[in-house]
Amino acid sequence: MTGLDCRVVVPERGVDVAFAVPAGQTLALTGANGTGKSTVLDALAGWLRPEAGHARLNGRTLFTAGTGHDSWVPARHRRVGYLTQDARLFPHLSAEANVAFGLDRAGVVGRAARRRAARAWLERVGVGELAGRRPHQMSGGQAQRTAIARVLASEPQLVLLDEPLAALDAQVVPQIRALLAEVLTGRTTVLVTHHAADAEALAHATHRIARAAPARPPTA
Amino acid sequence: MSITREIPVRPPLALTVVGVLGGAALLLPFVALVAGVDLRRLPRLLTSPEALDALWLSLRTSLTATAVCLVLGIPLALALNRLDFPGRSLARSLVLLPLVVPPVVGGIALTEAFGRRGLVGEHLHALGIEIAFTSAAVVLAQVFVSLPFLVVALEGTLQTRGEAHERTALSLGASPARTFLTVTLPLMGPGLLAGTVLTFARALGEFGATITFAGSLQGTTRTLPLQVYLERETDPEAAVALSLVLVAVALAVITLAYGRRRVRLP
Repeated sequence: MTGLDCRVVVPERGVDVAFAVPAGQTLALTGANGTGKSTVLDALAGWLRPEAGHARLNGRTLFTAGTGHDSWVPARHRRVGYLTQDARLFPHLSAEANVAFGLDRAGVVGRAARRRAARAWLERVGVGELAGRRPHQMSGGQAQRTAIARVLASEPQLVLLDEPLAALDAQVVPQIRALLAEVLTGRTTVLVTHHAADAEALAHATHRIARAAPARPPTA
Repeated sequence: MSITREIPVRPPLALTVVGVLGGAALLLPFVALVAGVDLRRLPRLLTSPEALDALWLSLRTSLTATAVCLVLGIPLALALNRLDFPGRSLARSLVLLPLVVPPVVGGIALTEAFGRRGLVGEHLHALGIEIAFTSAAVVLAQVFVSLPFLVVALEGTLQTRGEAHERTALSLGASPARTFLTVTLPLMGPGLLAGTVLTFARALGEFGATITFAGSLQGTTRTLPLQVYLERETDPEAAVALSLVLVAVALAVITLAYGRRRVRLP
């Protein structure tokens, strides 16, 4: 089957979450703080090995755990793009070089071709004129636009968004939200968010993680 | 002049006075050193064959030792900071050992390891390789005492920087080697520069381990600090002049490592 199908079990964080995302659709993952939304994304990205569960992306197994014959695909072979609330651009590289960084995996070969592709992506996310800027010369919104271009330029088969609008100034949030809605069309995406407005604007469906039963009774 | 000023919390006056005394204790000997130099004799003292031999040897060995430290120290700092293995915190403390043991003890330890009858040296001797009392021994002693400086500096940088950028690079499909070369290494920049010059300075000043393990043969193992110590007996003025060279290099190193405005990396 195409799309994403996963279950992530991390008992020490009280996480046991299972969901599926049809190919090309966006699922919003919501729930209170501490319910393990970021834990799920880390497991899908390949930064955290769950105690049990599995993830399959377009028929490929990303990991299986707790079955006796576990498997684990390292992050760099997953083709899973991860966008966090802080853009995490490489501070020593220009916007263009940041975007070009992931073009290798997309199969773009040659300096001129990489340059063209990076520029095209920067144009597409609305910061074409900032190609030569370093991250510290950009506003938060510009940096996040560049980060969006970078993650999509690497042609991921799954996009993970962890509160992508949370660190931005309120006045740029609607623009970046609209940009995400546009560029994520047709991409398999998991979006972690606190905001109903984000889920409504970007997601086809919402999976709400219930608060897990506390491991210890709360102190009175 | 700005109009708005923050009011600092000042220490008590008595403490400030003691603090100034502390500063004077650090600087006074250097002032005396500079005052004690006879400028007219300086060129001749610094260009004697012994002095030139020592200077050249010191430069060569310290640069070699710094290069060796970089080759060994960057991977070591990465391993200590990024790999999870049993006994990691113990290993991190042990790396500091050469920093805290007296250098002469380091020299004895090096002799026990690489001397002709040493743990490793015995086998090297059988292969016809001698280390003790050669210029290689000087480099080895310098690496031994200065490597911890580099590792500590690099580990500090790695710690504050975290792994977020490397994770981003790997998620974008970069190989571990490419991630190291294009992300980890450039982001180590400021710590790498400071660590490298400190390492060079420590190697240049090495005395105890060198004289114990490498001896004091002119042109082969008698580095500048050893030459200073030797001249002290026969020609105190020459010792002062050579010391001045070492102080000048140290000042240059401090300026390079800390005086330069830090590269802004948010």
